[in-house]
Amino acid sequence: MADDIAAVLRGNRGNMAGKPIAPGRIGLMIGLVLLMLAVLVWFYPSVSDFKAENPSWNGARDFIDDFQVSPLDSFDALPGTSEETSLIIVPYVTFSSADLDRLEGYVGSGGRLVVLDDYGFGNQILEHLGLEVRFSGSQLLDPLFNHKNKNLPRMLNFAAVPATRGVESLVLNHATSLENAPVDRVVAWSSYFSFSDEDQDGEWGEGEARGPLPVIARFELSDGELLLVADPSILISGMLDMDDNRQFLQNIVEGQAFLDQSHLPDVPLDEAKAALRLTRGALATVWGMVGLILLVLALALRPIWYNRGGQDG
Amino acid sequence: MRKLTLLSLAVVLVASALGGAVVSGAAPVPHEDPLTAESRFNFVPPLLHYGDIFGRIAERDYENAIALLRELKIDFANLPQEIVFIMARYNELSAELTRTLDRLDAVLDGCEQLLSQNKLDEVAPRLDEAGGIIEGVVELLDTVGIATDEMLGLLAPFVSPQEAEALSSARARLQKAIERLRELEEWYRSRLETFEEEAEEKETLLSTELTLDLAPAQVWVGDPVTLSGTLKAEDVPVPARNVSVFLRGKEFTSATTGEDGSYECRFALPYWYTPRIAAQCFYLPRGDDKSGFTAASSELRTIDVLFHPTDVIVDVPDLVYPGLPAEIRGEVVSQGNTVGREVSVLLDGQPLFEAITDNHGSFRHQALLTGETTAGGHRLSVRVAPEDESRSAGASSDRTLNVVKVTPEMLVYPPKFVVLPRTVELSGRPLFPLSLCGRVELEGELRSPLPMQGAALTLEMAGVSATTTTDGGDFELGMDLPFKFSLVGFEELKLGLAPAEPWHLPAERRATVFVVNLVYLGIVVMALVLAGVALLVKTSRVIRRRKQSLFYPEEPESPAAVAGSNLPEVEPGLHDTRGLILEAYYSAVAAVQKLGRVLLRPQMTLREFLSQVTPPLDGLAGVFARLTGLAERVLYSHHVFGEGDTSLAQGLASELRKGWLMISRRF
Repeated sequence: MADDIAAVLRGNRGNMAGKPIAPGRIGLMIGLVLLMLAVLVWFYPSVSDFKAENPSWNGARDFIDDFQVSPLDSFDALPGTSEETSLIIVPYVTFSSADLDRLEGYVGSGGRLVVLDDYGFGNQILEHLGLEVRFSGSQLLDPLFNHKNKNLPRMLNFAAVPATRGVESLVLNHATSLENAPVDRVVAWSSYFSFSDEDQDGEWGEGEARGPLPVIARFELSDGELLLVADPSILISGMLDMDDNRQFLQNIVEGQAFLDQSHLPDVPLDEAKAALRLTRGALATVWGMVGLILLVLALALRPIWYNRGGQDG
Repeated sequence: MRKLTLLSLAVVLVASALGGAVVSGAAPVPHEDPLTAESRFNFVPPLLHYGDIFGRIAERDYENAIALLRELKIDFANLPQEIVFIMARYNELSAELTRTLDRLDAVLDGCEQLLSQNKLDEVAPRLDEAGGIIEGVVELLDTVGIATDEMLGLLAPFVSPQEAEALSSARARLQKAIERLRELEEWYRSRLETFEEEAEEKETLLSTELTLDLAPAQVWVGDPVTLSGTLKAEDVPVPARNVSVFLRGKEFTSATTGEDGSYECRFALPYWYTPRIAAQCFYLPRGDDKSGFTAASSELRTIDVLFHPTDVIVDVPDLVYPGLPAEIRGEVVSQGNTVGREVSVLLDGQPLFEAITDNHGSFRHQALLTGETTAGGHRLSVRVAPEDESRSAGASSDRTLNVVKVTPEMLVYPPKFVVLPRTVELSGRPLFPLSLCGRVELEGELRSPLPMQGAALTLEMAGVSATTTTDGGDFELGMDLPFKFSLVGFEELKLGLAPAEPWHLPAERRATVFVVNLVYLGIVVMALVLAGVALLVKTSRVIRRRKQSLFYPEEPESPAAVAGSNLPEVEPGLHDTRGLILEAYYSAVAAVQKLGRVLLRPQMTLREFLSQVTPPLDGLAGVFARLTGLAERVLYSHHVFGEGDTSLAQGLASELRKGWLMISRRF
């Protein structure tokens, strides 16, 4: 017996009690860690591109706040009538056929659909709508008219339409250009010095399209309108105040505006945040609340329960 | 417990430190931060572009040269400031050179045409002008050459070795284009000399003279007018020659000279309601005359035109509402006819309505602006067509039409607070059969000076909304609020009005309502009460035990009871000397803990405990030190203990317990 105690004491540097840690305490510690991690995830700002909750240079927080735009997690949340509304899409995830039908219906019933794309899946929408215009997918470079370097080309040529009212120049960021856009539909062109870098060597080569190249185009479809912009980065916080980008966005965001978030790729943090939101939503329901009440009661009554058990024993 | 807490914190910290890497994901980034983007200049494109522009100029393609220059909006280029400045000046020079050469081209073309028509009087000053322009071109080319050298000199420090070759090629191309401009200047100079020689040769031609008379000098529109004159060559009449009559700068008719060189042209004055009409006649040699006569032009004469001037007075309302009729009226004033005159009215250049004047020359119309008409000032143009029959001129008047939309006045009386839940309802939802609801009731008034019908009134609060229609006046709007766990405190209430009429603007009112969620508050209060009760029960029990131990100390009945809950239980066998010594030690420790007010904690060594209890034990410290020594040997050595050691330990423990009893009884 004494040997047992000695072994315990030697192993636990003189732990006089010699007791193993109670399972309740381990559970409490796990719960505490999970809670701390949840708080950390909840308050850690998103850093995902174009995300409404991302306050850094590549996020859309400023755009959401400054233009009173509502982030949209599902097309199901669109209002019943699309007249006097704008839906802005950055198509970085493929669309289901149901999504495409929903978009077609949205434009058909009078909504303004703004597709901001460079290397994403915008052409899927254009194909579905039966248009010939396409996002080229090749980077638009401008070695002369740019902000700092040729990857940030500056647009200087505009058609006189409401979307370009008060706009003298726009700066894009790793943009692409439009192909097969009818001249009378083009709203903005790149400069004479720009080119489409199809072979990605950073230099103009024989056969590569030279400027001016269309970068913004507008189509009237049924009762609605489709606006194509060959660069989604124009709405990120870091680009909002470049030249007249803000004015341009002001012009195209009409009525009640929504920014689609459901076609942006999710990173683990976003998934964790979504799970937390789901949990919070579940707790806000009646059944969630009932569960929470039971949990609070159980935790509050635990010491009394243990004491009674001890006395009985 | 402390170790676990530290471990937990470490896990959280590591998770947060790695968070950045995890959250950034693996998706390719299709942009860069413009603030931190690397700045790089490229001088080759503008140099190549200037080469292109000068190439076009050298080919006399001035239109495209100007178009290319317009593409070079140098203020927007990403170039060093000093280069932007010199390039802007270079742009101006290039533009001026292009414009000058274009003008020279036009002047020389004009000289060529005048020479072909034998208009020697007119060609001489134009040839002088062309000579002056060529001198200007020479100066400009010199300046362009200097500016080119200056610009290339300024570029040199900015050019990286990688760019040097491309830049050198662009420079060579530009300089070659400038050389071609020198050749162009020579070409123009040669052309001018050719024209000067031709003009000199034609000085031997007979000079002609053409006169022009008008009768009458004042003519009503539509009435006949006669133009006449004589064509002579050095005072000799020139018969059978065609004379062109120009009115307002355009050829109107022609006449042929008679034997005496005279001509006459009679025609009805067109219904041109303008006070004066310029008339001039020309003789241009044709066929064989080209080698015999110079061209001639008459003096410029003015025909005073008579007609009835007309005016229109327009009266429009101060404010006009889209979708509501507005009376636009006016009166045509003229000494000619004012009855049955055609009036057309345009809004921003688009036809709005047409009207005919009544017997008093007045018109009125209830104009209806479309619902899409935007608020603000619009240009209303009223045009009265001329009437040739009465020789009455037309008239027009522009007025500004102020189109406004009215925002209905919305008075809202929201409740100061709302209590949730108000009712418990059963709903048919499969997942949530039970729903707790609240209700908010809102009263208010809508006022508008214009008729209102079927306006949609939407109440939004806590993510839900309710809509009703109203025709203005008082309204009441209620809405069920869903139960929300977090719905407590101030909640914003938004009331939006979407009028059906185009003359109304949407309106919105916001108010703050304090929402009290009784269920939520109940949960919190209940949890707090339960936790408080549990704490009180536990605290009072501890206090009671302490009091009992301080004021009514008792001899422990068994070693285990003495040892207390923090000491291990030792159950030695009959001849287990090591166990008996430890049992004696722990029974002593129970007493020493109370004497010294120090607990033997699990992480303490026996020696640490001894050192902490030594000061308060005072005279008993030596006894406890000996006992501790025995216990340490039991625990940490292989020494074999005998009965004597057991007796010693038990004796020492007994002495310590007695000491504790004596001291405790003093209180």
